[in-house]
Amino acid sequence: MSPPAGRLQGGYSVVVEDLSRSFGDFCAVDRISFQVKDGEIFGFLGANGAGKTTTIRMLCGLILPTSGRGLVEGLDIGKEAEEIRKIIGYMSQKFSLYEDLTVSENLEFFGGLYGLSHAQVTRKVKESATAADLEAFSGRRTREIPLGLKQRLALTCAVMHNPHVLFLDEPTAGVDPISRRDFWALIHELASGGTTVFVTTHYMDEAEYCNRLAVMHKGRIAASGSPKSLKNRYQKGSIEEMFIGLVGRERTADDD
Amino acid sequence: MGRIGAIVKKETILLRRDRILMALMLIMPLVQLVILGYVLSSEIRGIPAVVCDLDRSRLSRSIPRRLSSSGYFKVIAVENEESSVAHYLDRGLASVAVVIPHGFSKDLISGVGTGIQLLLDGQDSNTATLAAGYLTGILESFIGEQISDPLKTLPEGAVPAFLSPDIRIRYNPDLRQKDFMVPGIVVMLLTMITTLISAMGLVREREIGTLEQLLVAPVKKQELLIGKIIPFAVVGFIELAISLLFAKLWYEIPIRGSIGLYMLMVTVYLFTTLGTGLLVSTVARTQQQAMFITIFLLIFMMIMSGFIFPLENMPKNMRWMASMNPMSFMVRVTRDLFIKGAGFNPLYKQGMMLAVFGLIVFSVAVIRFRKRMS
Ligand SMILES: Nc1ncnc2c1ncn2[C@@H]1O[C@H](COP(=O)(O)OP(=O)(O)OP(=O)(O)O)[C@@H](O)[C@H]1O
Ligand SMILES: [Mg+2]
Repeated sequence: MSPPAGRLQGGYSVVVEDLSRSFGDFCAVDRISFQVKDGEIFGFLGANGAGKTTTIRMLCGLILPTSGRGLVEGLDIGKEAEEIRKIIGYMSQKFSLYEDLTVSENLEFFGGLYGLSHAQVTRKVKESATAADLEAFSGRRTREIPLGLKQRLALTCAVMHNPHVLFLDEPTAGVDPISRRDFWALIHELASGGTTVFVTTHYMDEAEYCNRLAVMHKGRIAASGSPKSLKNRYQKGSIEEMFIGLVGRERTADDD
Repeated sequence: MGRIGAIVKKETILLRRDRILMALMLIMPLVQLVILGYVLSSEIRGIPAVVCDLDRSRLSRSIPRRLSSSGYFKVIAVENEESSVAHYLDRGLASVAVVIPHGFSKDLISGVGTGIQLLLDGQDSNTATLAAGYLTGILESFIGEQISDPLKTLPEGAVPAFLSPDIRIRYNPDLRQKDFMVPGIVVMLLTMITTLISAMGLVREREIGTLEQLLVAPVKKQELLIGKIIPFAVVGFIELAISLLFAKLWYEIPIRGSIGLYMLMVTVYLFTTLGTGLLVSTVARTQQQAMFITIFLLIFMMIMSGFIFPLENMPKNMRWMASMNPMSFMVRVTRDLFIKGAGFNPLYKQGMMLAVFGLIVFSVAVIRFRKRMS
């Protein structure tokens, strides 16, 4: 279950150097560089349109970078996308399960998509921390289950194949606080199992759960470091204040 | 196989649970077959006709009665002067005027050869064409009878010029329009359903966001496309089975050729329709766009297929387009196989053409499909 070392460079699971992506003449991601350590929970903060989703999509091999370089588990995001797909899990921002499939049919399908047998899927679901809830709703159509459980189901589907790196794009958007706590319990469990977790969020309390953070603003990384070091550096009591200070300041500056 | 199997299974469950789609699949063939079947194969009866008898012989005098008794025409007047005929056509009182020339009877019996002039109201060219066909048929059989009558033997060696030797109608002797039209409708239904369903399939997943999850999985694009397509092909066969059953039981359409051979042809044809759908889904961003593009293509394919409008009547410079249209091949194959009972050899060429089309369309779709987002 633990990721194979070796291809990793100095213990980094994700390495990004000067990565850019433009749509026409609009630069959505502008020469960003950062590293994610193996096994850590890396938080990606940013206002709407900051470029978080675009970055994740590049790392998952879904869109090509305009320039720059990115490695996931030592594999090049431009040339080795097919290899990367085997070792990553991805929950897109608009993660959609098949609403007309039942809970267990969704699990079965995503398992099958990753080449898992029926028995393997069953075992995997049993092992999962949400096994009880998934079991209770297993025969229900996915459109009928609570959003919090939907997100946990989606996460279970995304990690069916024990990925080394997990990309989560705003996985808890619109979910109530209790469900968010449950969801983060799952993330911590995965991370302690050795999975690197790359997660974007708008919730500042969630940012505090991360080992390290990067704050993205208008396609650039405005700041990065551990939550504690960021708060210290910007002399703020919370990540929220730090974020507003950082993003708000630049915003006003731009408006002039 | 595991991955393709998972996709096939998922797609099948989703199709089955789509109530509206299922209802549409059952109702559409029935409604289309009932309505189109009757509309398209309707015969025109009681066409108002005026006869101008310049011959005034015993033979010519029996022509109006003959026209009326066929049921296709209603003779509203018999005139003896050519000049009075125009009035009926101009006023719209008659759609057809039959002018029997002087000496008609004499020339016919002596074997000199003769003609009958038909004046048709061409405003409704469709009716005119049909009327001309009926008239020719009726007059020919009438004259044929007169000549073969032993009492009026022709001079040695004389062949009445009026009769051309192969007017006899082959394969569909009762001129059953339905036998001709219904196979076309069967092909139309098959084409519509499979092209549309395949065009919507991927675009829909793109819209709801599940495509992104599929693209990020370690699945080859061929596996993904094949997995999506197989259930659609099954839908096509179910649709076909319903249509054929209906054609057979309701319209009593003969299916003289081999069903096995037909299934083979359909399978080959499905590569074209499903491939066209896939191709559309690589172009369209939304389901709405996919729908419009597909409908545009379908209308074009149908008009140029010879299914409603005979290809022979098309201008020459348009006919090459029809010859590039896979649906026109499938319509031909279906008619030949059903009506003539054509076997493998006569259908081989069309089959090959269909295979080539299918291969091209499908390959282009697969090549165009990217495992990345735009
Ligand atoms: N395919 C595309 N074509 C054109 N512009 C795009 C495309 N995808 C994203 N953009 C633009 O790039 C910018 C960054 O988008 P992105 O989705 O990466 O932001 P985000 O940080 O994920 O925002 P959010 O918090 O709203 O999800 C936005 O201005 C967006 O409009
Ligand atoms: Mg986003």
